[in-house]
Amino acid sequence: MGQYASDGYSGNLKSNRRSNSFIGRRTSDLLIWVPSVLFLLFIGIPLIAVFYNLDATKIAVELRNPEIISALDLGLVTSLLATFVSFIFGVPTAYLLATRKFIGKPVFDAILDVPIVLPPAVAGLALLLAFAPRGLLGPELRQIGIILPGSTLAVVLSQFFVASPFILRSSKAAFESLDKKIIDSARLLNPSRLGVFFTITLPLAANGVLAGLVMTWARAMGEFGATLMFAGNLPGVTQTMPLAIYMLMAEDPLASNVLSAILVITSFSILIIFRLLGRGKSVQYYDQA
Amino acid sequence: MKRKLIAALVILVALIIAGGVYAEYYTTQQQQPPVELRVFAAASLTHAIQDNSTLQAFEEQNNVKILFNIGGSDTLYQQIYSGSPADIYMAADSAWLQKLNKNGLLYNNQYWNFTSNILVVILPQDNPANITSLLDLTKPGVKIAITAWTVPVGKYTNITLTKVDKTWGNPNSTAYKGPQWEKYRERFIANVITYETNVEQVVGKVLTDTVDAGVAYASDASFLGQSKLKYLAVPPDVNVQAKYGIGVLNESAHFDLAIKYVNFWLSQEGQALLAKYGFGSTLPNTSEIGIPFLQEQIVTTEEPTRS
Amino acid sequence: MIKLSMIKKSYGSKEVLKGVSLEVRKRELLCLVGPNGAGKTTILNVIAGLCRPDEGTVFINDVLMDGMNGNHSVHVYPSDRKIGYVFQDYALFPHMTVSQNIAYGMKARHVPRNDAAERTRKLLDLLGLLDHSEHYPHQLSGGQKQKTALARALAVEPEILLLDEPLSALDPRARESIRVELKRILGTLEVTSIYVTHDVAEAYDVSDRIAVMGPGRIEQTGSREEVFSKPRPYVAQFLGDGLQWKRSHLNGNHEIYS
Repeated sequence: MGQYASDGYSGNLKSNRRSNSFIGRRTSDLLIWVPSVLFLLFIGIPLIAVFYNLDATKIAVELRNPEIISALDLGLVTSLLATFVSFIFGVPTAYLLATRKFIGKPVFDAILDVPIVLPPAVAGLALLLAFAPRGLLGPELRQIGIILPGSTLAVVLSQFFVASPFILRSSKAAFESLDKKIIDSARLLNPSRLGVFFTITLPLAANGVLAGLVMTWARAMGEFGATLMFAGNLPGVTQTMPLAIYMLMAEDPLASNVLSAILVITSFSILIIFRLLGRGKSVQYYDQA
Repeated sequence: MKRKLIAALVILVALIIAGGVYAEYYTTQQQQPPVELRVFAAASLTHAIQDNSTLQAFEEQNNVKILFNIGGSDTLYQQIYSGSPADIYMAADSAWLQKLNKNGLLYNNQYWNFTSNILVVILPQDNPANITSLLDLTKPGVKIAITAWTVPVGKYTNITLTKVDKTWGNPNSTAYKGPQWEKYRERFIANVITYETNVEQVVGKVLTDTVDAGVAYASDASFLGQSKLKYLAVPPDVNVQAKYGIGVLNESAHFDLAIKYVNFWLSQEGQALLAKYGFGSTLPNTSEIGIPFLQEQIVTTEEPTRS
Repeated sequence: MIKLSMIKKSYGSKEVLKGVSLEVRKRELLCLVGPNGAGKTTILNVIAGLCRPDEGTVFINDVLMDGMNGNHSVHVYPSDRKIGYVFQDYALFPHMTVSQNIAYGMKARHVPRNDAAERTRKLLDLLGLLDHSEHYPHQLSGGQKQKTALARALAVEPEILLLDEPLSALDPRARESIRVELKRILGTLEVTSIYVTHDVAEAYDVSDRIAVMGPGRIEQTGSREEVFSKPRPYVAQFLGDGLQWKRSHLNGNHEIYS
């Protein structure tokens, strides 16, 4: 498990003392591997269970069902849009929080973190109370012709609401970890602030931003509670895969199982794709200097 | 590297668009864009309102596409109250319609009771906890699923439980059945391990053997039949008659069509369809609310019949 | 050419610059020397415009860069000040090659591609980096990184060159040769330069004029002979042993390193 050249324990010395004062090499290895494997099992076994008793032929059948295609498609489109929106809003906000000081900053920061701790159903209710036609901003929205509940846009917004903290946190950490001197060098050479951002800041923060985007998308794909409450459960319009699975669980658990399998395969594939694409990018830019 | 990323994204987007087109192509039925009616319906009505032939017939006859938003009546109420666009609201408890009416949200200030339902205890096919009577539900270790109290069937369950406490479990009552029935409600609730968001979820939990028993509607029992579940009757003296309400929302853009839809459910044809799915009737001529289980406390192995 | 007057800067409760005044003449190489934490880097940052002083004025070529003009405060953006800056640790762009690093400033200012390429090549040649033009910073040695940083700073033809401890990150061997090269190159350039270091010997060797800093303020400025032979009390203490040693050499050759 690796040579620890400098840990001072050659292995030949026999210690007379009961070695309670340090943890041996084998024990520390166990402390790393055992929790990791258990973790993997805990997550992996339910995933396996989804496929275990599955009637694989049913997958093909379900995939031809236009309603299922619709749910799958809707889920993918909305989650991608939500991720895109999260990027557009999240990155500048993350940059602001990472680089500027202003009055009320801790409050600003805390508010934007709330969606992570808020139960999704509560988030959905809050969105409803804020943006539905009889909600806080409802009348204003109606005037410009926007009625959100019952629309696909509401699905995107629900997903954006619950998933945005991921891109925000990740990007913020990425921006904060940038070497200020590098940015300063750029500012001296490049008269355009926006230019500095796009040529230096963002590329160097790219790993963190991309990781955040993947997490945001994943959360958006699985989003259920807020969508159900705010957008409703309208097949073809707002019924994403998680909602479809939920509905089916009641009347046809087997079909629900099939849909779950489809969802797992789809999500897993997209995550793998992103992992592989990311592999090329995560060059270790910084050496020890 | 950048090229690969862009290529992957393009392929992804193309696939998604293709999927969307495919779905659209298969779900488009009419040539001219039909009018869309949005029906917010209680979960217990899922199968009755989506009865294929009836639905198709109605849609074709009236050149309308009906979009169903199915969920717990309480959730639907909240959505409608907040202004979520809807044409028709069908709730498992007329009280919700009454609430909407009080807020002036119903067309012509009208709503109708259009059917009824009663409670039934549903059990998994193999009945692992060996439940043979309502009393067995309070045995320690039995796992029960019901809906949240705010969902109509949950509210009715609560009423039933309270009725049991007040009659069967009340020494001062003439219907007192003995000390084993005292504090029934408390002991029942102690066995509840989940409060679902609508009755279909309760059914799902029982179907998958996640729980030992659930409280659902006679309509669910009727739909699923005896091949999937076992049932336990809840006697009429403690049972609750759920009054289902239907109404047209004030902000509907298609009053005439919506009224037509309502009238369908109130008509003989509609009532017969509801009966077929295990619901009661509200026609003045019908004496019985027509629910199959009037026997007491016996696990029935007969298919529920409908007169 | 550079004129700082009574510059004060605090970070929170810590007063880093307590009223610094400094003048650097055109084409002069001034060495700013002082202990760590004295505020040397902060002075450079103020000159560069990366850090805005709380009080005081900054003039470059008699044009106000930082300070009050009548009623409104002035701050000229760093890239408008014609300043080249070699940072401690070089701060190279890790995602760009040596050539791209050098060309960055020119590209940002829309210098025509051919001219930029030509100037890049000249700088690569001047600094002996032609073999490494397509390498990335993490593939370079310390000395090469430093030269890249210098080339990058010079690419936009600055009028002022700021160097923050250019040798301190190098190992002793590299330090020697780079120092010599640096001195040679700086000698050929016609830019006004400020060279910051905490190493007294280095200061003596490199500069025409020296400014000695104590915590938050400049203690003494003058030619290196002046400062070394007639140091003020604090300066004497700072220069310490180095002073004695230099003294003994003042009468002989001025080369410290043999």
